[in-house]
Amino acid sequence: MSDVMSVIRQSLIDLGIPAHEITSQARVQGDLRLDSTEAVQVSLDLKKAFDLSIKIDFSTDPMLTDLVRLVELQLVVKTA
Amino acid sequence: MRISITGCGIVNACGNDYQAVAQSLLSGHSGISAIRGFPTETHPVKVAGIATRFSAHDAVHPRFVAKTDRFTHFALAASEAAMMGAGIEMKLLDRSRAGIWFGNNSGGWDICERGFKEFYRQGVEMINPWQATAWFPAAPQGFVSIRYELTGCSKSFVADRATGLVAVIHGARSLMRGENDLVLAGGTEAPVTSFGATCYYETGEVADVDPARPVYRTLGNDVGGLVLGEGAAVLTLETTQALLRRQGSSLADIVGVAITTDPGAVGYVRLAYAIRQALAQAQLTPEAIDIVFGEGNGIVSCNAAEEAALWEVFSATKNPPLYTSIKGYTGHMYGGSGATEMIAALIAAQYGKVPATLHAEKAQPFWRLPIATEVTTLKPRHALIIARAREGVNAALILQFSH
Repeated sequence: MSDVMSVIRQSLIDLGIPAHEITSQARVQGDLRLDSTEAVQVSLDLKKAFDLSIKIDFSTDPMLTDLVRLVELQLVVKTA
Repeated sequence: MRISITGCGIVNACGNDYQAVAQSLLSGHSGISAIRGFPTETHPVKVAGIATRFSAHDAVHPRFVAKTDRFTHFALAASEAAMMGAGIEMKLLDRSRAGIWFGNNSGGWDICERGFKEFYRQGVEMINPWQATAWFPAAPQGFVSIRYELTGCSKSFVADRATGLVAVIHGARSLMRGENDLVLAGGTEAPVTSFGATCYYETGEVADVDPARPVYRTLGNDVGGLVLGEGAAVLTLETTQALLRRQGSSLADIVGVAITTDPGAVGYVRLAYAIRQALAQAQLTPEAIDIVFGEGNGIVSCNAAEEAALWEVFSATKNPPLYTSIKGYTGHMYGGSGATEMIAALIAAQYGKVPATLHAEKAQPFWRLPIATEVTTLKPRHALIIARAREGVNAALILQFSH
């Protein structure tokens, strides 16, 4: 599991989401039913871990793997 | 007026459920203890009634734990117990006619204090997203509404020490007005944080209690102040018709209620009037009241006003009611009090025993009504519950038990 996925996973567990529901294919709204404040908390946890500002776009209901890719891309840009 | 109490849930320093609280009240075991949740060496408040055995992770749905404060955790746990105890079948419930009437005096400070630290240490972008929604005093109403998808007429109340009982009275009135068939009524409070306790201390009403001897002398003449407590009490209230429709059973009936205001902390005439109004609504004379679960909070002026009002109403009776204050067990819970006293009355009726007022052997000299200085065998038919706020708001409620 990537570092990014580990951070997201722990953040979701802290929000009370059962660990078995947290898969890379799970969609943030459709499957995990994140509300807007929970999404902000995930963004804050990512900011604490990687010093990145990530906004979770509910309009596309991304899968966690999409979110991981987005963060990793920004990390690459940041270190380039 | 006749509103049935059909279920109850309670959390406080004495325990996390009805049985634990009953055991504590009837054995004279107080939940008042030294505060360990924050450093108290230099803090003015060192003692409180703390729900040390309560765990939100055990009692609250996991999706609500992170985003809600401790006072909402208490309310969610107490609401669940009340709904279960009443045997409410959610499939049959018209949720648009089920409301929530809760009291809370000062919001939630666990998450809020964290938010202050985040703001000052990490910057505005790092404040947790629940800073506002978790703190505000209507949060328990909101989250219980979300939890059970209840959309009936609902309100939240702030009325200082009378907060909890005022909420119950207005909840009962909403049933009488036909707005709801079911009401979750009561309140919750979690003031025992560093900042929260400081706010209460600044009222000048919190007693200076030695943490080595953590006691709350509610009628005592040597302290002159209250001890804070945390917890919640929730009752399911239903109209007689609604109860008959679903063939439920009643634990007790609310038969009279009144709210008045005295001009200031020491006046008592309007409190006496509230008691008489509640009696009139219940179509009872003062002789009918067997027991009073009073405000009795250790503050000399408040106790004196309550005593004077009670004496005015009951001095002419052949057998004045027995008076008790249970705040020595739990601390004063503001929003959590009121419904807690009502549940204590249910306990007294069920067990035929009235909880003793702790440390009442050194009661202030002005008390003239008989005080329950020890657990007293008595099967009450009617109980009077009283709450009184700092600036003179009075609430009185009469319960009737069928034995």
